[in-house]
Amino acid sequence: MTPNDDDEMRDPRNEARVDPRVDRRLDQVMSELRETYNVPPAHPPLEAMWTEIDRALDAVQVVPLRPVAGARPRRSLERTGWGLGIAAALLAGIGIGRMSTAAGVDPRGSATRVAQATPGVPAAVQRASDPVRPKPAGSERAGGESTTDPRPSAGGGAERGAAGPRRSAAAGMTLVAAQPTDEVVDEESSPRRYLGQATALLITLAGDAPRSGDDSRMVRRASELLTTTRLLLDAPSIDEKTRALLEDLELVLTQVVRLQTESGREDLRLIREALEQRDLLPRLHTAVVAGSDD
Amino acid sequence: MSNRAHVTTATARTFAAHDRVNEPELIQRVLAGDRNAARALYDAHAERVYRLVHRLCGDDDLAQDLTQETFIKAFAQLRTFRGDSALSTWLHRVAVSVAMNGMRKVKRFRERETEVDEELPAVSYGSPEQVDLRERVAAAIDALPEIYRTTLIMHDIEGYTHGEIARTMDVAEGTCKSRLSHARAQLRRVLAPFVEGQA
Repeated sequence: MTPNDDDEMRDPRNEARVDPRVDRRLDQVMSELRETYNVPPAHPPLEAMWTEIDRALDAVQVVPLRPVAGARPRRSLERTGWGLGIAAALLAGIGIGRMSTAAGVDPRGSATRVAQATPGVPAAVQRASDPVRPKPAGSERAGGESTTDPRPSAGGGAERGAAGPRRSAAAGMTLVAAQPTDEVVDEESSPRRYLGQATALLITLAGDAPRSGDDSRMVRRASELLTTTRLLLDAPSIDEKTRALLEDLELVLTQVVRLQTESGREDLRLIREALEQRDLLPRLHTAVVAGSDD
Repeated sequence: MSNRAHVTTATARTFAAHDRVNEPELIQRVLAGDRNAARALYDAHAERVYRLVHRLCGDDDLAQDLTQETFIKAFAQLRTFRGDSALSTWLHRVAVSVAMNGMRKVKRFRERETEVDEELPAVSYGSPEQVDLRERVAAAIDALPEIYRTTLIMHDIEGYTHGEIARTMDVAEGTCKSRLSHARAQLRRVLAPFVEGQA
């Protein structure tokens, strides 16, 4: 990427109409704005960013989609409904969610940090909470869950012990979520589990119980669900209805994460209002039912 | 150091980094799971990507977050990089996409918030008139449709060429020039009363 000193171009049609004084002034102002407009810090937080990237790469890797020997044939989304769309996309996030559950979430994690520093800003990336536990030898799943693509993981080599690739509906890609391998992901119940957890959290929020020492647990739960929700939103396979639901869920969960440090009661009131205005709980119930029907 | 000089320096550093490494080889190593190779690619491109993302979003924390997401997505999708363009171009394409999506979310979220955002006072210099004019133009830039705004920021603020912007945004160079022309026309409308008032 090179500077564009020799590349300035003006539309001649506009030039004919433009007052040259205005154009000169615009050039001058634009030159000044280079010094003042959204100026990046002189020293970008390169190390801090790499730390988060490194952790995230521990959790999620992507390998090309290849035929998996013995795998069950994929059912079409049209036939099985959007619930299975969630199921497919969820495979990307469930490993991270479980990892976060297993290891706990650092309350100073990036999602919280961003939410604190930039109210209302969804964290684009949340770090996985801890490095992946080494995979015990011989712990690969057998049968249909095995993979014909045993290449080392991009997350630091085979010793990182990524579980077998989880196929997602994302075209041509398989998201591989590194996870503790002593746990077996129940693929059929994953969407219900995710939606169930989200529903349970929102029911707790919607209740009238006063805030208590359980807040940190609730915030941690919301943070985990937020990670999964964002991974689901990245999957191109989900339909618009599901996407709208997940986006609304993302907004509410982000607000919940903010509860950790900000004045609680007012935020809680706003969250409850958002729940009501967006009909989030009824829609989640519908989604749970649809997932159960699959 | 002037901003343009800083841009040039950053660009020079990027190219210097490219000289030190063989990117295709690094990419293969990343795909084979070599985290050090990933770090090398990151080191070569992170500063430039961060600068652009920060110019687009204007927030330290959001820029950090979006830059992280850019590289996570890029590494996750590295197998889809076919080498038709330079890796830096491909990375910038990912970055612009991530930044635009992230900023849409932020905008949507802020629109829903009932609280009034209290902006920190901007550090400014120059006469009140100059500051006012800059602020008005900056506000006009913020109000531009995102494709025009992105083009203007990349070209007029960050110093990318039309070719680079076109490849990054996956459009023809003519489209890029047209967008820049449109963006500048919008800004002229903001400026015109000031200039005429001075005459």
